Amino acid sequence: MQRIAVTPRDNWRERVESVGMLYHTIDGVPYWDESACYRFTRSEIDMLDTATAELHSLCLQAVEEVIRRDLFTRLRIPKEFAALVIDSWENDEPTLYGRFDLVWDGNGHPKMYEYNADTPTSLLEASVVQWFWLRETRPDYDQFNSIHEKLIRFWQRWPNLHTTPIHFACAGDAMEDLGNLEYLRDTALQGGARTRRLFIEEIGWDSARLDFVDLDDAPIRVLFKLYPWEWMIREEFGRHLTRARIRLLEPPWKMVLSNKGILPILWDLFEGHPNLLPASFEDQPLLGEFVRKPLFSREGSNIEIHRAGSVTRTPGSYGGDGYIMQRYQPLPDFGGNYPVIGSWVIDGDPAGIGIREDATEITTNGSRFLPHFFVEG
Amino acid sequence: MALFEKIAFDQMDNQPDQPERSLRNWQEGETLTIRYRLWPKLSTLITPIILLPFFRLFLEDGFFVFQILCVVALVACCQIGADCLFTQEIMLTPDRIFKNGLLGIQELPVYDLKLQVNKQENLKFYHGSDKNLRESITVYRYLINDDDFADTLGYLQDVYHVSFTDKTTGATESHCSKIALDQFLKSAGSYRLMAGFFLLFALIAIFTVGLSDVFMGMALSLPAYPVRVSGIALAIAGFFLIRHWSSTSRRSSEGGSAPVMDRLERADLNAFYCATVAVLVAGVGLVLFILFGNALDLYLFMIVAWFYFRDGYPRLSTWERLSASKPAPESSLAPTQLLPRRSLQISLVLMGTLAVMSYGEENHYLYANKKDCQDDWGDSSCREVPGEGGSGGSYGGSAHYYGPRYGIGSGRATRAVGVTSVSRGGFGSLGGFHAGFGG
Repeated sequence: MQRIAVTPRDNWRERVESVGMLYHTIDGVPYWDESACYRFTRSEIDMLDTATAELHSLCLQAVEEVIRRDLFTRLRIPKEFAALVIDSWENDEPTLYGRFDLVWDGNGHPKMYEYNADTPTSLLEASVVQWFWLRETRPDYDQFNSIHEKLIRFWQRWPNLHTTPIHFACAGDAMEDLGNLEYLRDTALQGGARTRRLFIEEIGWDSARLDFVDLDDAPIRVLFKLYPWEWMIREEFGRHLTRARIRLLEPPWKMVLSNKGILPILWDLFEGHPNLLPASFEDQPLLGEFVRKPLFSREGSNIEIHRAGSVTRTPGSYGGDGYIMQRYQPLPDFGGNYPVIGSWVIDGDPAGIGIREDATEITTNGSRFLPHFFVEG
Repeated sequence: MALFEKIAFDQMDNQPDQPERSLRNWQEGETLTIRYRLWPKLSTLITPIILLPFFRLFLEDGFFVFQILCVVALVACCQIGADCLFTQEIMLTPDRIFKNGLLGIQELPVYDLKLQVNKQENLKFYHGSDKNLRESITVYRYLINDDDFADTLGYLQDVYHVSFTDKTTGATESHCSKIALDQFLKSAGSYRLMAGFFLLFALIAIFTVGLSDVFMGMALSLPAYPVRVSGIALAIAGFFLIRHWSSTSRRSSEGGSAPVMDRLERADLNAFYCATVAVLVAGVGLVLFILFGNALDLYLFMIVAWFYFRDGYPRLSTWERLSASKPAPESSLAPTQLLPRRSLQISLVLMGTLAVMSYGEENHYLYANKKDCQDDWGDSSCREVPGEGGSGGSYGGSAHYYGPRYGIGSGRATRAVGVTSVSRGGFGSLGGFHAGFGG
């Protein structure tokens, strides 16, 4: 794994916009960063592939264990929604996607920081934008990236694809989320689905029909929501989720995996696993250097790194539901750049990676996305 | 250690195995009146309130079978509770037993009385057969005092000449027409058989569909509302059918022109029709549930079907009257026994109430603009329909406004453009507090 400085394409903004990435610059700072890229070897990619498949398998076992041991309270999942989780799990409701955040420098085993199992983003850049970058700049090399094909294949296998429209919803004021949502909707269209888009605030509840409805008051039967489960169940319409005839993506059982509480549970179940870091709930302190993470948090908010008597923390509004602790595992330092590898799982299979880099050790909403390629060897 | 060992004696006297009665000897012509005690009645009222949190726990547990059991238990509690609370007194006279209650008088002739004293020592009187559920009176043991209980047993033995075959059953000498009784038992048997088959199918359906509170139903694209309304219409039509068949039986008993067996078979057929209607109503609930996954449909129709079933259930006195070989003693209430009782009408009221409660609970007045809404209800009751602001939304043009919920609020909806059951904006409130949330 090497970081290589390269010269960006002259018209890189137009190039990435042409494939749908309109949020390449955030607050005047480039988010899509092709001034450098990462080079892997095939064996390194194989290792990431294997680790991702292994971690996904461990996570599925952990969900089973959470249900068996009734650990919902530990994960702050309200009791009335535990049944929803269990039913979706027992009915094998399929999962569309998820993204492991891995720490790795090419040596040893990749370690799991967390699993963005519910609303992972940076999908368009990982799937399409970096692929076109590779085609234009390094056509002779390859990339660990089958995200697009696997997404389309997922939709093609969806039941009643041609008769029941699939609704796609995200919050109305998040440009990046809208970009990700529209990309996913496009893959569904390519898979043969009928789709409709609306914002999460526009979803209606029809108390006469006991249905969630769209803006035309048509019932929503399948909803892809780029909106966190933990918020949905705490909002006004959350109580209707247990009785409405609606199927959601991600399915309710992903509530278990998108919760940071899954990290200590995984460690408890598979202590010593080479792809896991020691972790514990806050009532069982972790000795040594550790990272304190809220059970529910996103984009690197409210993270604290405790090491050598000092604390580095990021701001945010999360943490009200408690914290977990995870052994501090420093990110590799490539000349003051700290990359996190986002390894995608589509329809249960490893599908590719995307790398986000920051000048600090905590990856946040403002961290840059860098493309990658791999060579034989 | 005891100083003396106990010596066990064999029972010397050879008393028959009968429940204990009072020492008083009741004379022919005397009347016994039993009244339910106040405090046990009140405890009947209070106990469900205390148990309600536990019922709620089960209802919210999410495990569908628990939920069903809980609803069944609730219905049973309501039935027993209503029976206890509405009963004022039970009067035993030489030829009849009367149960006087707030909802009317129920009576049993005693020329063919069957009696059960169950494990809790409740007393249950039947006319003619313990299959004759619609002509039975239950006396709840815990609601009467010990003296009344012992007196009742004495009265049964002295005045009605009830002979006990064991501690739990007793009967007077039967003067009931054998033809009528046989035909009645045949009708009751077919009635119960249909109910049994339905319950079996319902259980299979419930368990095989893998029902839970997130079962979405099998008709995802079918509009639920019109189908549900059709189901309610069918159930209401069933009410009138049961009334019609019951009236037909009554008329044929009065006419008396057709041969006896024809009249009895006609009554048997009518009872079968009533059973079919009750089972169909329950079936509509089951089908609606399987189609749309709304458990309320199941419960609503099942409860109504239960009322229909109960009221259409055969009564031996009808069969006796039809056979005309042993007319029942005159009673002012006799003709009405053939008609559906109040409970049948209660079921209609229940259905209407539940329909309104469950299907219209969140209807809001809809306004074309904010000013109209404010003029009707004031500022605090009006809110913009989410998702319409600035972009037009599904109604086109400017934003619409919700007034208060239908039937609530101090004002008049004179400017409302309609009533909508759709509310919006229940998701997304937390998104505004966060810059981004894609992980």
